[in-house]
Amino acid sequence: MNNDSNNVVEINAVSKWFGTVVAISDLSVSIPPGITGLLGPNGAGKTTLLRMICGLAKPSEGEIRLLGEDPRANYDVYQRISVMSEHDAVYEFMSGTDFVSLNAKLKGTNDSENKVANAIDQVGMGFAAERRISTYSRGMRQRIRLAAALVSDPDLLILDEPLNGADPTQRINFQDVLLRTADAGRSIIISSHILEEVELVASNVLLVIAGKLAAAGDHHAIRQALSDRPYTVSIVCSQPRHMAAVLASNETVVSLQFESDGSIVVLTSNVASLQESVAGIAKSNGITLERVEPLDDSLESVFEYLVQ
Amino acid sequence: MSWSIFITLTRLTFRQIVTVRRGVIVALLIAIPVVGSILIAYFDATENTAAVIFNFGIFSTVLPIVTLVIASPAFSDEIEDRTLAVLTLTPISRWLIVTPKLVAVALIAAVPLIIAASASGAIASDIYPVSSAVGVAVGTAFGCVCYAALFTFLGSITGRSIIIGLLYVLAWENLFVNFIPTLTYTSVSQWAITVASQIEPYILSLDDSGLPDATGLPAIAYALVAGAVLVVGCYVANVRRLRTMDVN
Repeated sequence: MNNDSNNVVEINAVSKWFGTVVAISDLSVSIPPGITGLLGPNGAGKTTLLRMICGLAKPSEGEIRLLGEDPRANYDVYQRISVMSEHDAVYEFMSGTDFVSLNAKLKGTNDSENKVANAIDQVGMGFAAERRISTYSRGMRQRIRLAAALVSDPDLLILDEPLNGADPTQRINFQDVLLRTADAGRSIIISSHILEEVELVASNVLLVIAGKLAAAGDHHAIRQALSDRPYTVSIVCSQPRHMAAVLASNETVVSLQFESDGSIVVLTSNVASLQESVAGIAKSNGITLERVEPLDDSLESVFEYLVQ
Repeated sequence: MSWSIFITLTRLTFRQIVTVRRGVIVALLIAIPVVGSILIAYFDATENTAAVIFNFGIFSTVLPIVTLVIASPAFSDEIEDRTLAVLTLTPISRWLIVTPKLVAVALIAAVPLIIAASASGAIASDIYPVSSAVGVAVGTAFGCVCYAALFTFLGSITGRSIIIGLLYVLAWENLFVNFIPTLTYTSVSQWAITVASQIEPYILSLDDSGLPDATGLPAIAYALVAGAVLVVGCYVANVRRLRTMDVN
């Protein structure tokens, strides 16, 4: 573990179990300032880890320091952080403005009226701010909760799966808000099970799988690791035997197999190179491509490969 | 104490707890002693029949169940809908979260109960002196505060607080306490009856000589001290619970 005192979070040999179920196992990592993406498949332990980081849950073993202090019921730390949980935790009977104002008041925010208006504007919810939250869509609830997290101008923003339920436009706006927040000198920890969501905003990525840290570092390195792994790809085309014969000489193809439905299943060491080759072969040989799809491109299979 | 935060959280608790569904349940419950009193007056019932309706109807059943319905969701609803983290991830002390919830619960439960108790006493004023309405109202307020502390704490430690609370009220307060006399010292409703009877003894059933029968009731000093210990104990335990629990 890097003991740089500038790190916003220090996690030292932390484990968390619920009865016989181990959620986090002996995990150690340091999180530097900036935007950090916490990446992992559903059930990997991301939420449990974030709950321990912000002090909502106590580690069964090990130690966590948040902004240099123990986060459990630590009012000084809570003054400096905001947390947006994965759950739809809102008071439905309130209006959006009331909910953001409540968060501002509970955090002791000065000049709260202006800051509430600014936070709501930042997330583009001004048009519905006076409506009751019970009338909001899932994406609108996410945005008003982000406004509630931003209103106290925290040093550290912890966001657990914040893009769940957001449409593509909302995702772009959300990412824009996060980048502007980071530019203002704030640190952000954002969890997701989708690499593309995280790599757009986070320079530092932590990969968690089965409660363990599988990989950590620059998102380019993570992306490269994903690209270098062997992929299984299914190809459906008008002349499968001809396509297979040409592909057999491609140096990135590890193996070829015909399926009963006429498709070709190709194991390749470089999926990007194979995609280019298949398109070129089809064009130069007059073959019609109906479908080219990876068979094991789920995040779980990628993580399993990286852990191996 | 930050009065601004206190008032904000008290109002928040009011808005959380006061729902149409709970309002209907409470209205039906508090109608029981009122209807009982009307029947007492209509049928010109004896003092002892009236005492049974007051002591069992109001103090042993309606008072604890109404307070349970109001107090239980103060924390259990926040835990269930996961909004408790909105409060606990802030730089405000845990006692400043518990206090406004307790105050709101006690007020919300006490107002309809006191109105019902006073109305019942007034309706049955042919049998009882007018001061009985005051006595029953004060006893109800005392019991309401005790039960509010107990059931608010219960709601913070279990998601089944309504079921457990009902079992406690029906089994302990209404069954065991009546069959085992020494258990009256552990019964909040008996403490409340003691307080009420200090103001107007004639709300109790009468003995053979026509005097109020306080046999088996704890002394007033005991009732007051026991009530205070219960309220403070549950309050401290609730604050401690918020400090140590894992919040989802």
